[in-house]
Amino acid sequence: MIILLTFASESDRDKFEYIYSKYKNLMLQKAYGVLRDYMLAEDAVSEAYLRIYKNLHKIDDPTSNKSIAFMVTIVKNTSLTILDRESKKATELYDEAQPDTFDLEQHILSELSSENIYAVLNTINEELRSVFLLKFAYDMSHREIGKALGISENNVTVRLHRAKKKLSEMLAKEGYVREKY
Amino acid sequence: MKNIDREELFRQMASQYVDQYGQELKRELAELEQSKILHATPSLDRRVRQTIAAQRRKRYTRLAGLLAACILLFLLVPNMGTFIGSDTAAPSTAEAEAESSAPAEVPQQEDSAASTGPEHSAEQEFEVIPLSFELPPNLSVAGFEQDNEKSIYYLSDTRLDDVVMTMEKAVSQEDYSKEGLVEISINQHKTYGRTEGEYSLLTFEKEEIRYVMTCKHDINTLVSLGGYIL
Repeated sequence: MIILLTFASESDRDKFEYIYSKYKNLMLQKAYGVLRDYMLAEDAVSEAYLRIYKNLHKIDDPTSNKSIAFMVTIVKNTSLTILDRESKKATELYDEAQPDTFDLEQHILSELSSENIYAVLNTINEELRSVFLLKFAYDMSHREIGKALGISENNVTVRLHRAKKKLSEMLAKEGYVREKY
Repeated sequence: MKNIDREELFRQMASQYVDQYGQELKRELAELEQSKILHATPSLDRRVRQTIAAQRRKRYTRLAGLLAACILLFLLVPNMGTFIGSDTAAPSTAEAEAESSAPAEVPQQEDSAASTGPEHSAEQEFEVIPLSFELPPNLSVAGFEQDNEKSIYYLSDTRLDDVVMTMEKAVSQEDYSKEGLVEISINQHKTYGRTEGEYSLLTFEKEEIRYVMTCKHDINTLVSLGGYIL
C-alpha cells in the first residue's frame, strides 16, 4: 500500500511539475490581465496552483483542452477574488429582475453551434461562468467547487442558479430555443 | 427533433465551451512561447514549490496517521476479541458442552453480519428530501437538483425575488456557522439570517433537517417561507 501511495504520489508530482512549468506563464498572463499588478498576479497564480494541486485528480491529461480550460478558470477566479479583496468592494453579479422561468427542458434545442455556445457563455460574467463550468463540464459537487474557488457552498448554489437563469434567458432571447411543448 | 433535458443541455454546452476555450488557450500559449517573452519567475517558482511541498507533507502526515490508526485497530480488535473471550472463558461445564456441540454458530453469525454489509452501503445513496410543507402562494418549484446529501430547490417568486432552498439531514454541525448571522424568531423557532452581501440568507433546523435559503432582495421572502415550514 505504501509503495502504491508513493508511486501515486510520484506520478502526481511529475504531473504537477509538468503543469506548473508548462502553463505558469500563461497563468501569469491571465492573472495579470485581471489584476494589472505583477505581484498580485503572482499571488493569484501561487494560490491557483495550490487549488489545482488539490484537484489534480480532475486533470487526466494535462495537455487536453479541458484541462487547460480548468486551470485557467481557477486562476481567473482566484484573480477576481484578489481583485475584490484589493478594491474592497463586492463584485456585482448582474442579475436582471426577470421572472425565473427555468423552462429550458420544455423547449426544443436547435441550431446551437459550438461558436454560438461559446458566444452565449462568454456573455455571462466570469464568476458565474466558472461555477457553471466546474459543475457541468468537470462534474464537481458544490462543496468541491466552493473549495476550488475559495467561496462558500451557499455562494456556489446561488451563483449556479444565477448562471443557469441567465443562460436560459439568453438562449430564449437569442432564439436558440424554440417551440414550447 | 430531440427533447433535451435542461441539465443535459447545460452539460453539453459546458463541455463544448471548455473544449473550445482550451483550444483558444493552446493557441495563446503557442504564441506566448513563440514570442519568447516568457518571464523568469524565480520567486513564484520558489513559493509554489514550497507551498506544494508543505501540502504534500501535510498529506503524508495525514496518511501516516490513518495508517497508524488502521494498524492500531488491526492489533486491538483481535485482542479485544480475546479479552471478551477471556471474560467468558470460564463457562460452566454445561455451557462448555453446549458450546462444543454448536461450534458453527459463531461463524454463521459473522457470515450473516458480513453479508448485510454491502446492503448497508447501498442504502447510503443520497436520498432526495421531499418538500413536506406547503409553499407560500407567491412561490413555486422551478427546478431541483441533488448535490450529494443536499436537495436543492429553485423556487420561482411571482414578486421577482427567487429563492434557492437547500435541505440536508442535520447530522453534524459542520458548515453550520452562525457567524455574522442575526437571530430571527419565526413562530417561536430560532432561525438565523443575514441581509448584507450578495444575497439574503436564512437558515434553521427542523426535525433533523437543515434548511438554508437564499434570495437576492428581501429577507422577508425567506422569513415568509420559513413561516410555512416552522
